[in-house]
Amino acid sequence: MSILITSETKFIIQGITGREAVNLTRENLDYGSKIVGGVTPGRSGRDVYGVPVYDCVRDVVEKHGAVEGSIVSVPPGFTRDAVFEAIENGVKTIVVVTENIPRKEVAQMVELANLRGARIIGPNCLGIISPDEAKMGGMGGPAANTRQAYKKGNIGVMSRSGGMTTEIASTLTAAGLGQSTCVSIGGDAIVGTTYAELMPLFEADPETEAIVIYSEPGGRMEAELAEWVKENDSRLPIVAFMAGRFMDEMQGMRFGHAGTIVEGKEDTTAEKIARMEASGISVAERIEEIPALIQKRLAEKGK
Amino acid sequence: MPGLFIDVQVDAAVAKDAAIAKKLEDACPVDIFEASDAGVTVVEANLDECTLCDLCIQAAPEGSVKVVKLYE
Repeated sequence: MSILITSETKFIIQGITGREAVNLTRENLDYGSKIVGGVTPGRSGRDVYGVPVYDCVRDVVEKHGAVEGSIVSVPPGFTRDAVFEAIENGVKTIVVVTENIPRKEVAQMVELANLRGARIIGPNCLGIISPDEAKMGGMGGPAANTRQAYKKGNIGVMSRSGGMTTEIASTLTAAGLGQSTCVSIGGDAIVGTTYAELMPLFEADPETEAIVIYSEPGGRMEAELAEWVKENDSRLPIVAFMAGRFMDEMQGMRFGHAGTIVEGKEDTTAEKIARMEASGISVAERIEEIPALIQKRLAEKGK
Repeated sequence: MPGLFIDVQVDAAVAKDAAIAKKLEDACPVDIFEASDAGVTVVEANLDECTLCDLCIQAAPEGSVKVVKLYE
């Protein structure tokens, strides 16, 4: 098993005729993903690498039946409407690749998704991959590179950075540790799904035996994760790679992602490390330490 | 003037409490609250930086701080 997507997940790409989406279509098809249709208003009747294009999500659903997921790759000004359209047509997992969406509109998207029981991954993310099954988004780039970096296994990966998701997966793969599902949750200040919100899915997945997260200064996500782990007595050992330690000496500096605004005490790397370690999360200082820490934590559990 | 995205309302009695003002100033990662001996001031220019983290709501007495969503 895996979480969020499997080899059987049927999904669409909204904005499929755009340059970025055309590349995503090729990469996802090559990796084995089931893309049943694409949407670009006014482009019905065309195809992108054999994927039929429709004017709206409703037309795809009428033709192909219910779809489980959507990659939204449309300009920022149209993203909210595209997400609303997907949600109103029953799509439950929506990967929003687009960045620079106004915060108010992101909040509206997340609110509607919560009301309708849908899940948004992103915005400003590379999506989801369940290695050797399917990917939904740009994780790992072309299929050949993706297959090199990601291998099937038992480690779940969550990261605010899309590139670091692949870096971590590649490091795990090189050490013989495959992944169950890897999720790039997006780097914006407000995202549809946080680390703590993904934990129940990994917890319920019998294939997942441990978790690796990428952590940066700024934001509350690690604190929420630490609280979740303690409150729920998680069965999963977690290793966090903490980037940006230099920022504790440079207050007010921003690390890169919009979600990493460093102002409050709780946001510093020192504070995050202390909170995570207090909840039983192991913290790696360097990426190459991650596999050994995972193996140590798994060995402690007799695995 | 509220922000484009949210408005923040602080109960009048709580707003004059210097200790709570300091708590709010420390809690908010995007500087929406400014503390002084006279209490707390909402910095309107920073309202649209809100990340909906709810830390201000947790820092203040129950019900005394409201984040009003202007987008529903």
